[in-house]
Amino acid sequence: MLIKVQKRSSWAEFRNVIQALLIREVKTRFGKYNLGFLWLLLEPLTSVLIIGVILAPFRSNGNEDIPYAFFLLCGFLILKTLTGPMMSGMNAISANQGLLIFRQVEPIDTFIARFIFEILTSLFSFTTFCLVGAWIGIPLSGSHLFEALYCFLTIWLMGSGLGIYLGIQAMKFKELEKVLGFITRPLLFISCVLYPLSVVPFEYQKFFLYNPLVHAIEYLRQSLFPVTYKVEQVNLIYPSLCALVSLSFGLVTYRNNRHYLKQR
Amino acid sequence: MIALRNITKYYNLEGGGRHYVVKNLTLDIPENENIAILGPNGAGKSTLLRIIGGAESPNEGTVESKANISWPLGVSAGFQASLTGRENVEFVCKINGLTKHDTKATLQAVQDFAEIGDFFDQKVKTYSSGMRARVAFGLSIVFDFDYYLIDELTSVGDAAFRQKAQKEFAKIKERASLIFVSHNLNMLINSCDSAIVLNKGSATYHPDIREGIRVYEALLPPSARSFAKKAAAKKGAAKKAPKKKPFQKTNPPQ
Repeated sequence: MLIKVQKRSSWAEFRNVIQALLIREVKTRFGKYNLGFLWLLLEPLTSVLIIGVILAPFRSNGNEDIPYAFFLLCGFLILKTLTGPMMSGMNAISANQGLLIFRQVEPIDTFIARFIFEILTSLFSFTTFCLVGAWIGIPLSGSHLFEALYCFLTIWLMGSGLGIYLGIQAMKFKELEKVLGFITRPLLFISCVLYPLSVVPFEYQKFFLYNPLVHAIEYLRQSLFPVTYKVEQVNLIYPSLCALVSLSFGLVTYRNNRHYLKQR
Repeated sequence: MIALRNITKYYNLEGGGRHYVVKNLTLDIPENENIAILGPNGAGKSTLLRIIGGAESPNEGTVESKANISWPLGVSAGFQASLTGRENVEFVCKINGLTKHDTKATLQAVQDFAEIGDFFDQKVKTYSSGMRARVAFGLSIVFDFDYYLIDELTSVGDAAFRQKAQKEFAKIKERASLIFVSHNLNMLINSCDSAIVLNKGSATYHPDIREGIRVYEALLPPSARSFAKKAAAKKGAAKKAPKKKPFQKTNPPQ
């Protein structure tokens, strides 16, 4: 038997490679768990449950009209949309080293496949939670759905740029993998995941607003509950700019290092 | 034909500095002949093969070819260790855009050739190097490549695999070129027509394999020139007839 490989356009070849890498990603990430896809929903839910129980006595979110669980979910999902690509980008190359031997597979493809996987899982959890929320009677608004999705998109692009950068640096500095966990941990506390921006004293709010996550998270809440949840200072332009800078930074780093990314 | 144009490849050394594997290399690799890449350890034979196969990108220069070139088939064999043999084969089928039907046929062909039984559905990290080579080679011969890049592939195999591989090499020879990296000169002299000798970042092409081996051995210390020694011995033996048997048993003294 002899198979002649059909000549394809480079775009068709690129799509095939991304598909193959995505299948590989799904297999290795979910293959080992019996519950598979269910983990996508259980993971943020358990975080919400644990944090919710711990914080329940101190709760002062001031917006009782938006259910606290949903309030937390918005924060967790956006935060995960940032840290997800960062973490999975960091070892994208080392985890696919064996596949880089094929001429079709470029190092950037391993990043792209992983980032696509991350945004798909984020949006899958988000959609499921919204549908379930609407079903049990939470007054979610669909009128700002586009803005809500844009919050995810911009943070995902920012995480992707950082992910490429970290992935390349991690090949030089192995310690990065260990350190990054510590670095991203505080984001949970300074990004308005657990509390709204409005409880922060006014004179400190301007420092919080340097964090693009604060913008995206608060904006997401506002677009899901436009009537009851109002935030004045946040916008989507600032996180978009951050995403643009981060993505260019990641791609430039990739270009400067492209020669030695594809070697043993 | 594969045209290497001004290829430079270096590795950054720890503590600064660069190690140049090849420097400004320009070379045409002809088709329809089997070629051996020769050179001392560290001359960059495997790296050159990996550059030709697209597994590594040169720092400067280009590899131009309209031909279908295999990936470098080597001891490490290039498979993802965390996936099973089957998943790896499926991956390769997918990136080559094979249909479901062709993929199924490929899986069957690889399984038949590799003869590793249930290990086909085990993670590749549990494979021995011989098993990896079996799967990799079995997969590569399914594709109609114009060039096959063989990096010490058979050195890890057992006699059965080597025999099988030799048979396949003979078949491939009918339709494609083989490029070998090996230190087994006897095998090379039997399978190859020509040679590329790599030394200190430069390369020379020799249309005759014997000539290539002579140039290569001139780079080695005299005691290691096994092929030159053998040739000299043959010459000497031809002069001195009748030929003396090297391990003739002599009767022990009573």
